[in-house]
Amino acid sequence: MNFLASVIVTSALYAMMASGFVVIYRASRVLNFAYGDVILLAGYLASTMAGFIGGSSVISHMIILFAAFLFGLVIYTLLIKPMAGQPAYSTIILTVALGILMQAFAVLTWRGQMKSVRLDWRAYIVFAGGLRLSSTEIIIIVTASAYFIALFSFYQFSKTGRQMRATAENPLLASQRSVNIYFVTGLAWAISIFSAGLTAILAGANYGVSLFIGHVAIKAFAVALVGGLDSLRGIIPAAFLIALAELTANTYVNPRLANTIPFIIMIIVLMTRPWGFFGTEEEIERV
Amino acid sequence: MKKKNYQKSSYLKTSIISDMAIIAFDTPFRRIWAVVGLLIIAVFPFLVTPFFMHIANLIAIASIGAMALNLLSGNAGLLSLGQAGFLASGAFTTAIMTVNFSMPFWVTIPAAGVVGAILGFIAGLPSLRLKGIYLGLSTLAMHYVITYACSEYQFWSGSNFGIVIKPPSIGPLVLADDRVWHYFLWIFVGIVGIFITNLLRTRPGRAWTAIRNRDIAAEVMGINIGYYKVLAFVVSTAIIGMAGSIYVYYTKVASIEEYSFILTISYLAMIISGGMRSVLGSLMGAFLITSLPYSLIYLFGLFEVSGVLKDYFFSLQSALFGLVIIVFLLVEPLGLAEIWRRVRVYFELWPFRYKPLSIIKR
Amino acid sequence: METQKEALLVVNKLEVVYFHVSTAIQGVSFQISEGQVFALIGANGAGKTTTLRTISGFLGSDNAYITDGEVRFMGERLNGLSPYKITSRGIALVPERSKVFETLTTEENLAVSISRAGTQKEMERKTYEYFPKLHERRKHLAGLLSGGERQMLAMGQALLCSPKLLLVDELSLGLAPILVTHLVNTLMQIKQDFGLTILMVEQNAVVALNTADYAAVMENGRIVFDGTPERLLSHQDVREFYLGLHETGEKSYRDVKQYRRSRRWWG
Repeated sequence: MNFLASVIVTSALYAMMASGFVVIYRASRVLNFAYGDVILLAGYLASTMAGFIGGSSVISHMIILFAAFLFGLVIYTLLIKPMAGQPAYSTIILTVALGILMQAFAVLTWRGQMKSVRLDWRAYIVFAGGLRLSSTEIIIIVTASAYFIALFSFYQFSKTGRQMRATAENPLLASQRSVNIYFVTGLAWAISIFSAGLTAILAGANYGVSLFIGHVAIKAFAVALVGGLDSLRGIIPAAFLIALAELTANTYVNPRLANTIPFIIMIIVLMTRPWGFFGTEEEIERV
Repeated sequence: MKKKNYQKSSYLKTSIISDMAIIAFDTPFRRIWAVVGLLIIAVFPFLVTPFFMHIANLIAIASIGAMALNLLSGNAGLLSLGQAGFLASGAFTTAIMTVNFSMPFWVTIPAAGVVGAILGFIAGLPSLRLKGIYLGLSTLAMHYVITYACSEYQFWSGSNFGIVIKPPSIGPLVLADDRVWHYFLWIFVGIVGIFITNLLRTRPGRAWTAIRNRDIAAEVMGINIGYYKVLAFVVSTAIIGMAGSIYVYYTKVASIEEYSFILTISYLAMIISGGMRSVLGSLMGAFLITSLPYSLIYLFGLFEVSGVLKDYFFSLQSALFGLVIIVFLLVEPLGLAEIWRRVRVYFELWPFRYKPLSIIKR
Repeated sequence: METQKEALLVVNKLEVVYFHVSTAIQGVSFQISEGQVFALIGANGAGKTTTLRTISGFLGSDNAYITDGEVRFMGERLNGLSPYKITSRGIALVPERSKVFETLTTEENLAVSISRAGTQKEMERKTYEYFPKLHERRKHLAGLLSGGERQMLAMGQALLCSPKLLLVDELSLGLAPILVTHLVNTLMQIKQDFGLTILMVEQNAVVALNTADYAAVMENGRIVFDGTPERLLSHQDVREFYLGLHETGEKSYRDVKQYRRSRRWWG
């Protein structure tokens, strides 16, 4: 029972991180290789800022989230928007370079120390059937659920969400239909970096912040791929599948294999069904 | 003699043969610069310190790999994130053959090419089904597989810091001096450059251009896209394998730590900042990216930086690398070759401003 | 007599260059007054679509730049504005080959275009009046519509942007003649009801000249001839090259060499 709980918690984290990749891929058709480094930086900032401000950590976390949202807009406006006409790999290299830059900054400032993020509620709750969850895990599950409900409703039902879907499909046409594509795409980046900040706080609370937090992001990328790079619906089943496989390997085989499991699944998916569970098949052809 | 009151256009071709000539030498402007370039290469070793000599050699080796990558990702449009893996394959083939079997360089270098070609064939097979980013990811998977195999070899062979390789030799003549390397390397660069240029202006090159633009249309035209896609991989990785082999002969050590994803990114940065689809661009990009860390070392030496800052050297180097790539991509996404092209076109067309409607040669 | 007010759209000595080297439009000037139906005809590569793209702001993505001249809409310069700003000023484009958002339903496609929420329901109703087929298919994904329905959807979308000037790019492309006639008639009806001005680009010169109040012929980036449809129809070269009616038997555009056509226009 507890095993299932940890699977759910892990998949919740993976799913939130994967949504960061998917939202950007839908909006800009680009893989954001800087995502892991954003999480790194946000995690360090969150742990430092909580100590800096003092008092309840909720306020400092809100500041970090707000800053993350703005940072997404900034990245879009300064870096991504000017690259509008370029082929996709140029922008991907740009995000890699940005990631390198951010990682270098993080190393220079915090020198690779291990830190942890404080959430003010420390408790263990015991449920029926012997289920034991820590407060952090409960927060993760609740936050992830709320986040995804908000995200899906936004995309499906709101006017801006509709505009985002239209822009994701055909930016030129959307622009002709009086959609402000710069605002919409910038919003997508803001949402993605916001999710990075959110995950950084939650993962930092659960696992601690160190230079290895970027590796978790790469696993989340595998999740995004398996679910379908441009599909929000595919994220949750993919996250669950990979978390399940990984934790099963961790418990019954060994941790090193568990680390590789997400990539093995990714390679299998690439070979057999590259567009994942629910992605669109446009990138694939048959020869 | 009546004074000519017209100006012969510098790109006017009056015969088929002159039209088919290699682009690098077709106008007087370019011919002059080609001669200047040759002169520089000839006298370079006598003018510079060993420090710069070493950098120049590294630039030459990097440009071989960059040209091959440009062929694959630039001209054929097949994104490859496996560059470091293929370099490692060539490096470790050489290592295994020289250390375990004592083969001479004129066996190991072609062998590295063959191994690279085989691996490239395997890497090329997914391109029949995958496109774009997905193809890039499968080449990335290839990279991890190859580097894992090489790291296993390095671990099991007992040399934890790298396998030592003796420099190439024919009998008593040992190729160890940087200055002699310089000539050999640039001859190799020239051979590869001309080979690739020729390949690009004949049938495979046209097929690759068609595939890059719209492969479904290319198939309808009768181009066997499967064959040419795999061909692009095979040719490119064969050259990259040989480049990896030459690299370890030059540095005399093969160590798996060098072949990381960052190395792949450096090569991609080379072709992007230099200019994709352009042989000259690969050279310029190799120059820029290879000399970058050394320029930082030079700066540090110049300003007698305090000891504390030296600890962060690696991070500063990474930061500078990231920054340069970002600046380049934002300011001139078509690369240095595009800047060069604009300069060249300006002088060719002067005093006119625009070319009339005609083929834009890049 | 012309009134004193300035024409709705003024294109003045426009010059558009691709890739810094290839001049696609070489000095084009024309005016469209309010309520007119203006047609641009000409062969492929003449620069008609480029002109339309320049007016609607689509240029930047093609590495093309306006190097000279200007486009003025209701007195304001349009050079270099991004498409959505141009749309908000009252210009809407019905794109070539009826591009729509394929992953959205018909309803959502129409909803995306509406920028002013106030008249939303009303305008949707109006669109369904003109195109009843769309109402039937409103919950269907736009990617599953037939060609004619997509063209209707594209027109409906453009209509919902509350434009004053409607740019129609190649309406007849790929559609059956009966459908084209029906669409053109509906378009004229819409124009009447909403007081629109229409600039249409057409390769099908017959359709264009039947519908327009004023037409211009483009060739190689220049306007070589303009006038009312009667004037065009009576011009020998127009009849020969674009309508395929030659005195001495059928001769089509393709049969006459390029340079000879150019000589005819200039010499």
